[in-house]
Amino acid sequence: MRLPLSKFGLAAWTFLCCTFIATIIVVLIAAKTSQAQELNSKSNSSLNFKRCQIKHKAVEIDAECATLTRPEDPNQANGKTIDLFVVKLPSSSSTPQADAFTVIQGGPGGSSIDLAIGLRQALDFVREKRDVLIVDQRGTGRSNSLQCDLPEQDQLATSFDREQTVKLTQACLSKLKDNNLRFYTTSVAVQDLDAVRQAAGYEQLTIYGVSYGTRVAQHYLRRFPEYTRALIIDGVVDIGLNLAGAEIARRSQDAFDGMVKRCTETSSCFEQFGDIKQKFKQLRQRLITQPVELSIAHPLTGKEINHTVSESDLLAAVRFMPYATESTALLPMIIASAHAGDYTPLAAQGINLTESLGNEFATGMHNSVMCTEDAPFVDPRAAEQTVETYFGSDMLEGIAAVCQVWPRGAIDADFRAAFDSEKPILILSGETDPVTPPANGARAAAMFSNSKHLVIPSHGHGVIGRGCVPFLIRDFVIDANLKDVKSDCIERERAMPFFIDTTGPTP
Amino acid sequence: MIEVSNLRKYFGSVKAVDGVSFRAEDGKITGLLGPNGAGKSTTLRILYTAFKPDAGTALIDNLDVTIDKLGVRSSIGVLTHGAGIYERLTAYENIRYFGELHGMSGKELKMRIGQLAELLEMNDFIDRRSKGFSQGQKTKVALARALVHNPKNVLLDEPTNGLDIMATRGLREVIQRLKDAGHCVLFSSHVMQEVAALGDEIVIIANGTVAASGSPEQLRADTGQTNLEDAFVKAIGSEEGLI
Amino acid sequence: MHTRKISHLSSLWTILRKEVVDNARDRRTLTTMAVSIVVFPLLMFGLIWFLDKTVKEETDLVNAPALQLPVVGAQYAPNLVKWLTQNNIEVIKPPADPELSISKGEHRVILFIRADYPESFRNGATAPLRLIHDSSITGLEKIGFNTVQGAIQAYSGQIASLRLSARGVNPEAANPIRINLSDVASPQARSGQFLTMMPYLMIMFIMAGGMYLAIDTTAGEREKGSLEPLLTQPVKRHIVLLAKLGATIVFSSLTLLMVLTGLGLAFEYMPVDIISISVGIGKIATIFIACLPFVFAGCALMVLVASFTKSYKEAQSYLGMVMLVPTLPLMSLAFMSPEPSISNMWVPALSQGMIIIETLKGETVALELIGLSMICSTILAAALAWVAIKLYQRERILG
Repeated sequence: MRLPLSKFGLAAWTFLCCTFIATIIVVLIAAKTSQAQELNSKSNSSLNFKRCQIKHKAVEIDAECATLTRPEDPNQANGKTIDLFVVKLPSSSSTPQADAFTVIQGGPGGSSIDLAIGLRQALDFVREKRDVLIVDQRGTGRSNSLQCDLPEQDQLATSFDREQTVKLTQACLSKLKDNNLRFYTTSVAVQDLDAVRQAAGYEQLTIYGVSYGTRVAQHYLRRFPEYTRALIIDGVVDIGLNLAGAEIARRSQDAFDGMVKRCTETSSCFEQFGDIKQKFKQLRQRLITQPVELSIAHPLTGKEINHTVSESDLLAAVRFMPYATESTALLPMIIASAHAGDYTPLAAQGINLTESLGNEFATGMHNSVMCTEDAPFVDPRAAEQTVETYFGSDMLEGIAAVCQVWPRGAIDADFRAAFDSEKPILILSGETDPVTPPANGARAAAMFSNSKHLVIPSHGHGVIGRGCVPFLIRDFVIDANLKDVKSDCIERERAMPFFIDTTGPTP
Repeated sequence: MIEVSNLRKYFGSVKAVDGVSFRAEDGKITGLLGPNGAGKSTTLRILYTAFKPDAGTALIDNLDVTIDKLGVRSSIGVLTHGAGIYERLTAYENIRYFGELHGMSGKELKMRIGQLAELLEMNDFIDRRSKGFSQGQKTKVALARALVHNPKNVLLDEPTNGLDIMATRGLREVIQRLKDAGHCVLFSSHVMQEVAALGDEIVIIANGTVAASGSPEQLRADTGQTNLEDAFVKAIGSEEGLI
Repeated sequence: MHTRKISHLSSLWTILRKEVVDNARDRRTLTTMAVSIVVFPLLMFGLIWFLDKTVKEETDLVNAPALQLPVVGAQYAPNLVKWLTQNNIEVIKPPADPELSISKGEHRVILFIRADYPESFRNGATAPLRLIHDSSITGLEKIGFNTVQGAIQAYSGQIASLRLSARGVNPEAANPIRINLSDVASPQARSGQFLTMMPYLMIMFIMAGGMYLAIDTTAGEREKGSLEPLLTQPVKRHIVLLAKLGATIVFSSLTLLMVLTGLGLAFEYMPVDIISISVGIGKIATIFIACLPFVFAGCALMVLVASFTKSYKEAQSYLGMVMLVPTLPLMSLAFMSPEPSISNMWVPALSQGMIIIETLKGETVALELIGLSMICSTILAAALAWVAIKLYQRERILG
């Protein structure tokens, strides 16, 4: 049989038939795979994640955003609701793990999402294997933030005036009157976190918490052990630690003493500044009796402003500058130059701290936590323990005054009780942390049998970004195995050398 | 039966074939004799449709080689110059391939290959891959391949080329048997003795033309020579190119 | 002794089958295919994996051995040296002739601190540091160079901020603008460099897979002396050519399939985090089918060129060059990363290249554009095949 085809016809027909069939197959496959992909992305998350940018200060990153609506009162499912802002930083892997990594900011009152924006490098490592899922805890950041809008001068809350404090607190309460402030506590927040985990479709969470965030992380582990893969707690608030008592005054004093000791032992610092502790005392006394009226260029805008340098500026500098080794490096110089009559650096520090802290923390949420979880349990003799500290009992009394008028919520019954877990827990402390020193981490390490405590030399509060720590976290999170944490590298960390003048340290 | 009349094929200024005419009858062996480059291969190539003649006609079983190429190809079996078999195929597969190209298949093809293996005494290497075959074995495979479809006309271009004495003898026997079976056998050679020994009819070609033709006896008579060799030399006018 | 009626299709099938069997027994063809399944993933992943691993290892602050940095004048900057040590850079004694030892390759980089460094630094002026390196050394050798630079920059940045703070200026005032990069590429699409290599290699393998058959079709058969007997069979010449083209396509497309399978397996089993691409059956099938018309065209081109040539050797060297022809349009992929559109999807090789890249990225190419690519390549294939047939019908084919 001969097919009625010309020479060219056969060739053309062969190819055209092939092409035709192939095109049909392509259509079918394309349709099928796109369908499969759609199903895939929708199957395990009930949250409607959309591409978005999240911004903190000048840093803006790409993310996927969604909101989860939760009842404000967990016992009133049909009552008032609040929207939790949820962010996903998707894994760079095409086959991410089924669990997610999350970070929880301290404060209380800080935004976890802002924290995540600052932790890009460490999170990028984690994202090689798994998604990062972050929620701004209720009352903070983008989740119904409970801001009080305090006058700037009072943000620092380092000196205490009972009447003024009560007045301001009542102003805040009336501003926040639409919120039931009893439900902005850790006990409720961990329920939110698990609801977010479930809604986003993750089997488990690996939680990094810093400062107060470590309390949230540990409480989540207590409530939801089956959904916890591992914890990293950095700057530990160990279970039972009372933040409303003498703790902060005493730790701040320890840090100050440590700084003084280091300056004394460093020849360049001591030769330049002499007895810095003595200078601090004299300066403080001078500022108490006679605050200094100053006309300076605003640190940021450069505009000429009038600023009264007070004890409050000095205490703010002494309290907050030891948080990081870099700012610690400036502290002796700032004290010494103010002591010598040049108040400009101190005033600038005061202004900078006031302006940055004011925007970072949601005071209302802070109060709800403190007045529910800490203030009611303060040791009656706490004030005695503050006698030898530069803060004295001011802060303690300030919190007590706030909590007298602030609504008190409920804590879970076992909230303050010690517990153990077989989950791996990596504990991080900064050697010179002025609020949550290594002793806290050591107590947590004693409580958790499957834990490892790393003290990062020379560093202050929150060490996740320091030296090799992001790499250690990467190694730990991959298999949630503490044996993978090879911690020798942290011994390389050094303090930033003290500035001996405004130009810098010795070369 | 092959009839060639006044065939011409020029390659540029080279007159490869310049008016060749002859007839090869069924049941006879016709030998094309001539020195290298005389036009024998070109003539055969025209006959087996590889070349198109510039002028003249060539009929095989009354089919014109320029018109019914496929018909012609079906009715001829060709042993080309140089055996040209596929080395990675076995002898059997080589033969079967051409059988299939002729539309044979199944039992018929298998039996036919069996017959040819018997006829050409190839049974001891029929299932071996052809790589490393001797020239004789290769020629046998190529011949079997040419005969697989039992063609009426058999065209052999320098068939004994490169064969040793025994192989040559074997080949002659096969050619004789083809003749006995009534095939029209046309072969070319520049070896005089071979043509003399086999050919019923001899066509002497020189410089693209037929110098003489006829039975060996006729040739001797026509040239007036008693010795066939002298008859050749006389016919082509030179000794060059002959063995 | 009768003439059998033989259909074109059965002749085509017979020749194609024979060519497949024949060439399947050819070690060269098989080697090419085997190489494609093993070497392709190795080429693709091995290199990138090695690069990534090396960079990661050398910059890994946990596991990387300390970088040895000879410092001339370390005594002038003890705090800087401390900082370097903190950053996993071990300061060692400098060689007698730093420049010579760099150019001899004994060290990647040497830091030279001038005697006036302390003075400039203490004055608040910008203190110069000299970093001796060899710019003709590139690639991984540059990691150390970059590490040292990065560490010194970080130190400089910290001192700068603190200097401003110490003078009552917020360091932010000295950073007027920050650029945040917003990336619309999917994670899968970020392996750009890797992806642009992919079509190039795939198309090379497609060509290589069919090369020996293409040569065999004309030059090879002629050299073996089997072309003439074949052409005396009752088969039309264009059928012979098409059958052989068909066999070439079979091997070429099998090679492509192997390459894709190897790729899929490699993505599945190789621990390469940097390339977050998964290659499922769907993607393999899409790429395979979309590339088939190119396989046709490539094979037709090779068969066509092979029919010009007189010997196997000649064919081999010509086809070596012809293999490069389809990679030329691909150059634009590396330099311009074009997006698929009507204006470029008609170009054979380029359009397949884009389909390969987009599919691997996990993005979909509009079906009309895939159709355009397939139809244009098919037309080209048909045209090339037609020319090849014309050439094959010349008497000169017999040589």
